[in-house]
Amino acid sequence: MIIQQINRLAGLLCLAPFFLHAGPESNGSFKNLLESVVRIDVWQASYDQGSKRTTRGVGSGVIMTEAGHILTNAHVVSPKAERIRVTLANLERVEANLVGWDHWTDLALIQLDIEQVAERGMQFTHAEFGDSTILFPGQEVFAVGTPNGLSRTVTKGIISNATRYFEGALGFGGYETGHFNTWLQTDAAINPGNSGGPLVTDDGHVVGINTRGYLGSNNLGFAVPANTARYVMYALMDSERITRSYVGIVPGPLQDLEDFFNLDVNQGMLVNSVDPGSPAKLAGLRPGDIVLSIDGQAVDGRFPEQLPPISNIIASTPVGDPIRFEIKRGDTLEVIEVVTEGLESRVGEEFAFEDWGLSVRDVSRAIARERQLDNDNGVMIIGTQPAFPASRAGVHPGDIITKVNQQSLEDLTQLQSIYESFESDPNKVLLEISRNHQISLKVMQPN
Amino acid sequence: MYRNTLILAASLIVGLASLSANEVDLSTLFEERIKSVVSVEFFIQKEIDRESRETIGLVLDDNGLIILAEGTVPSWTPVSKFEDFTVYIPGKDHKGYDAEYLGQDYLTGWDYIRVEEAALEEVMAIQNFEVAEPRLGESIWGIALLPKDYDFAPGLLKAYLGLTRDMPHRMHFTDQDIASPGAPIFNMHGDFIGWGNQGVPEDKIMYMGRESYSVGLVSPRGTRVFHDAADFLERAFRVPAMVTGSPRPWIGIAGMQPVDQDAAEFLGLENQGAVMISNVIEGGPAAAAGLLGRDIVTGVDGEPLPKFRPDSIVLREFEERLRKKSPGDTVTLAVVRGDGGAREELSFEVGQAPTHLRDAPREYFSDLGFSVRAFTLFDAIGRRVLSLDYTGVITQFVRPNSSTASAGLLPGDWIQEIDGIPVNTYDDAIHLITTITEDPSREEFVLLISRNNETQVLRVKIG
Repeated sequence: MIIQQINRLAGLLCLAPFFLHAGPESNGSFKNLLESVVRIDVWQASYDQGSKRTTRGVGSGVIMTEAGHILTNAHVVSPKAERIRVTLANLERVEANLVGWDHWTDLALIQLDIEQVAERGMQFTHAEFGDSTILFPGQEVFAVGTPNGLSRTVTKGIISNATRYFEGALGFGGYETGHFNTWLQTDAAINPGNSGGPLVTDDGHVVGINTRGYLGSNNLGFAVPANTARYVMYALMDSERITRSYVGIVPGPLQDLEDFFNLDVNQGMLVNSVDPGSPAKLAGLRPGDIVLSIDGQAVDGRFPEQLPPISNIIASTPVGDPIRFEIKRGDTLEVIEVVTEGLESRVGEEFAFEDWGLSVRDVSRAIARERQLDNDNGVMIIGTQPAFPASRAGVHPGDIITKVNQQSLEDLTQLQSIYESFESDPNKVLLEISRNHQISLKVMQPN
Repeated sequence: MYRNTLILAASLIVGLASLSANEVDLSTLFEERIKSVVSVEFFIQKEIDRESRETIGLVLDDNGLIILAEGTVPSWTPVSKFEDFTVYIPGKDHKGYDAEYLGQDYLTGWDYIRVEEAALEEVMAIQNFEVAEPRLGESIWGIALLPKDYDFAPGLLKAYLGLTRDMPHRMHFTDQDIASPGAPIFNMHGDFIGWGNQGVPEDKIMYMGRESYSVGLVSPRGTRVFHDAADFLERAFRVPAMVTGSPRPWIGIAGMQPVDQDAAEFLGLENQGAVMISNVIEGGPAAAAGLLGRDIVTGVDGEPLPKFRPDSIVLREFEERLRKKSPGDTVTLAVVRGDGGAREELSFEVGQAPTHLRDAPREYFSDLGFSVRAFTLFDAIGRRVLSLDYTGVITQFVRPNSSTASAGLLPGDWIQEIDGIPVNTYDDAIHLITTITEDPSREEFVLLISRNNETQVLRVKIG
């Protein structure tokens, strides 16, 4: 009996050093993790100078499946990527292809060129997700990646905050990011090039994808939580893109406003703004309304950190389905049903008309609402090349082309077909542009 | 040979004689003519800051009417904020004379003051001098004033006339600084030939190390551009009847853009000017007459708009033709329809402009640290409300670290609701805010504001 107890104690003591002192170096799963982290070199098209150019970037990624799926950041690899080259932990290089991307969470999924891998008999391993919801501030974590091109760099730190919230965050290149998730904050050194690499616990489990750091500050790095990354990864494997729903409400925290709205604390979410022309607006939701429940599920948006998950409930509803908002307006309770539409990015498709020296982007519904345009017709100029017809005509980035040769311009596709006929027979082109809602006419003369 | 030399000598003597006569003359002319110029100081009292401004005035008549240098009195600042206009006689160590602000003419944008009677002996109206038209290459001179610590001592600048252009008003350009902005320019006979315009940036290239930058430099105390005297005098006596709220003509259009030469040619509008009307204000006279956004105006009252270079000048010409009207007059616009190019003539009655930004009522609530002002058409256009049917008030000012500042309120925020009650008019807003400030038991209130086309609920904690 006593011996048994001593044995049990001894067992605990034997275990204790493992929990307290087992560094990642003594741990096989950590080694496995290191072997799953890759360097990603990307050649991407850019359209912002009036012509198509190629830009090059370096980032990190982590192999997450046996089939060679690699999670990285959306700002590392985008659909504009023309070539993706992965350097495995064993220094072998192999091409990869984009599977899908999701700028809302700043995540992208690429896959190793499996034929090439098989042909060359290359070996790789993959990492496992950990649970990001049980992380606590102070917990030790490691960042692995390619900071400033330095492959296989491991840095160490702690979780500084497990649910960091950024208000109304615009991410890279004007794309929206962070509406549907909070972030892990860490003091593990994260530098440019770490992007897309994993944040891991000492047992080698991936708890986040390192995404951004504050430039010019010390040790303020941020990662997308693994639970978000896992969802996004499987959704992208399934259908290459993530479909989300949009109703057009901008939530705000209720903190300090409970008295004014005559509410119990920890109940309801404030509607700060309703996008003009959105489904919510058409259904009659108003700024200042308090949403008490969404499809019968009570919501609590007291603090800013609680808002992304609520937005995610709305986003996760199938597009075209009705959502029942139970709201409080003044002293009355109402139920308003809103039929969702598909969530669309602000950033439309881009293209460069090289003979004109003109880069444009399709006007999205979001931009049309933001800029109070009459509709989402037309294309927005994002760049011009000096001394080419567009720049000589006097158009500027930010201008919206609303008509070409006195015909209304619907979208980029229509402009592309006009351009084709220009290429075969260069002629003067009359543009109607809107700059800060001022309409003017510009003529492009062939060079 | 001998004869030739003699003629040469004689002509030399004549030359010398005329030169010395001019020299004597110029200093006398200068002494007489500096009396038409004064320096003017005034203050702008804002919610918590006070600014001082200095400008130059030209005495227009024998009763002390003075016109101030162009662009030196802000056109958007309410008249009630201007304080203590003081007139100083250049070069005299004197405490100055009081003057009264008479307002700004909406056609020219020129501002007027009237100085107290005691100053009249020391000044001389510009009207008392002959007026002449300067010729290209002619030597001319003007007056410049030094800063206040020199008692605004006057100096003489001399240059020659290098260029004359109608823009659409006649402007003259000299080879170097000819006068301070707002001061007069004369020819060698002492005839009044022009009024110093505000400085125009001169294009320069600046080298710093290996980098070069193109910069525009403006001299604050001298200008090379001046208004033609005859044209100036024709317009200089439009003194506003009221210091605020003079009824202005208005047809309700916004976003006018000149149609450039290439586009005009494309539309078959060669050899004339044209102006694109981006927006028509719902409820305004032009909208009622059927003018549409994207219509192109090619003429006013049967007269085509002339062609100007740069193209932007046609816009000034068009706006001036409209501003010369009085509310109630009839105007006829020749229009090329943006859709389809049909030509039409629209005749309608000119209306009276809604309250101008400068005249919009406003109030400062010092306890809460913010001021609001009435929503004007200017605010409406900026926020894409293209009608006269607008509500709410605009946040004019927020004192740093006040309770409204802590709540996140910013200048320019459009207040739409106060404590959940819609703010329809300026009076509504003042009533609601006053009720809050007068209730000692109030600890907080809530604003619904719109900023960049997004609304926000802000909670203001009082005290």
